[in-house]
Amino acid sequence: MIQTSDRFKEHVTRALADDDLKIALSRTTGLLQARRRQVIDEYAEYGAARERAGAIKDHTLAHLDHYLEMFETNARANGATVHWAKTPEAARRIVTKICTQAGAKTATRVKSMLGEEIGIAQALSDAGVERIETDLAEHIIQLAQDPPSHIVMPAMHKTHEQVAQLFDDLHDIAPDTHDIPDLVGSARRELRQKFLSADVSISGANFLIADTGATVTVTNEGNSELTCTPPKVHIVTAGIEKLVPGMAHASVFLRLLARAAIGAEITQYTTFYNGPKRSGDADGPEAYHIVLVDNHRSEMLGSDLQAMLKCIRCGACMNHCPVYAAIGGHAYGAVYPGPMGSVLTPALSSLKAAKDLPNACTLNGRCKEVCPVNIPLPDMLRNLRARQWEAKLASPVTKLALGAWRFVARRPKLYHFATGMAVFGMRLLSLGRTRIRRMPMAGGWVKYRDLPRPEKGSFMQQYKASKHAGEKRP
Amino acid sequence: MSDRALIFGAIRSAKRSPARPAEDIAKEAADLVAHPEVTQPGFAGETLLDRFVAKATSERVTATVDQLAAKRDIPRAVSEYLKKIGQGTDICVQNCAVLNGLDWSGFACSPDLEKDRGCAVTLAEYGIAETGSVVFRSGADSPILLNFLPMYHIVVLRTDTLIGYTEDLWPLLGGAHAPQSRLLTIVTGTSGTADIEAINVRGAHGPKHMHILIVPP
Repeated sequence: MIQTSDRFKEHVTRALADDDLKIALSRTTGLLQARRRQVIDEYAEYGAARERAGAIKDHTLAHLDHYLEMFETNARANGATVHWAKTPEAARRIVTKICTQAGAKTATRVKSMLGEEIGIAQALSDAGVERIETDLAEHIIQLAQDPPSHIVMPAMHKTHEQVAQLFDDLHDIAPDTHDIPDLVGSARRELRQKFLSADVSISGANFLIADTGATVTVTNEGNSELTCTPPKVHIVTAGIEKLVPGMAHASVFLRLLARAAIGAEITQYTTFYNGPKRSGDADGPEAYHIVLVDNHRSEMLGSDLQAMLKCIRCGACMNHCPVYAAIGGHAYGAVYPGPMGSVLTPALSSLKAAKDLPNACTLNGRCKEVCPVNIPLPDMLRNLRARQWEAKLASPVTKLALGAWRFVARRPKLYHFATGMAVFGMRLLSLGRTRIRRMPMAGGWVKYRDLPRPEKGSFMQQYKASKHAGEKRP
Repeated sequence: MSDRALIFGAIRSAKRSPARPAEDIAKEAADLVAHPEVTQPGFAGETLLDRFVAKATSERVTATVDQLAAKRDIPRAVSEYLKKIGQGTDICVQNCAVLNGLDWSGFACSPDLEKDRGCAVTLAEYGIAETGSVVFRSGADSPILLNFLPMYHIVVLRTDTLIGYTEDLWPLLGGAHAPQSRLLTIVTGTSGTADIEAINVRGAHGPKHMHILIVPP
């Protein structure tokens, strides 16, 4: 997809006016939060697992060159062909070449965010190959010609009514009814034969196991195994940060990933791919390629963005972000939306091209709280804001407001007077209710939600009053 | 310069500490998982079998379970299940030693699994009590698609292959340097999706129903 993060504000205005989007987001985020909460509460060892997962990632990143070499050696011993790509363009060239050499006409694809990042759709179109998305959500957005709006649930922005309309119009046989199970059944019917007759399959990897050379996918649909078994060529594209040292380390992450992403103890299918078909095997591809992609990851190593390389792409941060819940994923204008995207997008493109993203954050800290590997997302977003300030990328309004605040904050008497007046004014505007509906100079805020009425008196006024009352008491 | 060299060059120049001997790195990696019980969900007091059945039949996994007295009861149990769900006698039985030794007379073993209402009987290599999962590996006698194409998936699981956690599985596969099958899959219930409005629906692309027959060794 083409990054349009520089038009964030324009996207937000459109998103906030989209009633279908509001319905779609309100139907999903609450459910995802409740399911996650329940399985985490049942997992008494969660804290220890989270701490251990972070330590495993730190260890792996500290020795990334060592583990990449180990993975390459073992994957080759398994019969894989390993390719390296510094940039998305290089990765696309490799995929295009494999497809062309295989004489491929069709390719089935398993959803992968790295695939989105490097532009797999473009690579296949360059090779003249028809792309068939097999993940249900990816199938929906392929029909709608939308980019993904969430890293785990790419069609989160669609209501079931919108999906029904798409399937009615575009499936060979229309769904029996517009109920969700029948919509799922319609996709099953539409895609089944395509799974079995494709020439090439393309998947991503949730993990790369260094000491066995395996690539791992976790899915609920089972579309990965159905996709990657019948075609004669299987291509895996994966970011170099997906490594873990061994199978026992992967176990720690598998427990955390399913719980954080979908609120389950494990996904329905956790699958380890070790290469092409073995001699005598009943099924499987003849050739197996792994494309390892850098795309700025090696630059993040050793920088203040290194912690972002620990991300296991569970999506919990976006499911718990009030900004994401209000605007959805498309507004971010990038492959990765939400809090993790607001950190990653500037690293994958530039601070300037994504300058609004680190500011689209209330710093409430929920993203860090729910992160299964404890990435300090709010701190990183704050650092990005500071770097923007240093690079003189802050908007004139922000500069003016911060300048005014600095002037007032350095003059305590003026500060106390101003905050006292603000509280007084806001209480007047509340018209005796507990919420403020209209407020001058805060139109952008109160247009979509109310402001709470402040307590009577500023903090300092209340503090002085209580101190005064305390002194009077015997 | 090759992309490989560029990537390794960038990684090595980003590192702030000098390279360490491989043995030291291996020891540190092993120490990180030396006490798996710290991060494994505990189920003290439950037997492996009880835990497996409770998890497999839970609302989140949705399998059904039948515990049989002997292996020879498998065809009868399959027949009863097919009757219960209103299916005919068309099934596809995995062509492996354990299942081939049974009396399948009375079944029409010629289903077209590529169509949609098929039923397959396959043998799990292991069962994982922690999550109620079953494990399959691809091989000459184990076409992996047999576990993904049918609408009804009947799984035979031997009690002596039950293990506690995924960590217990890895050593059974021969360790890091043993030759591995092309594919190993840990299957937990049936194919599902929550891609439309986060509502859970079963039978996305793979099986909609899983029935597990637990048999003695």
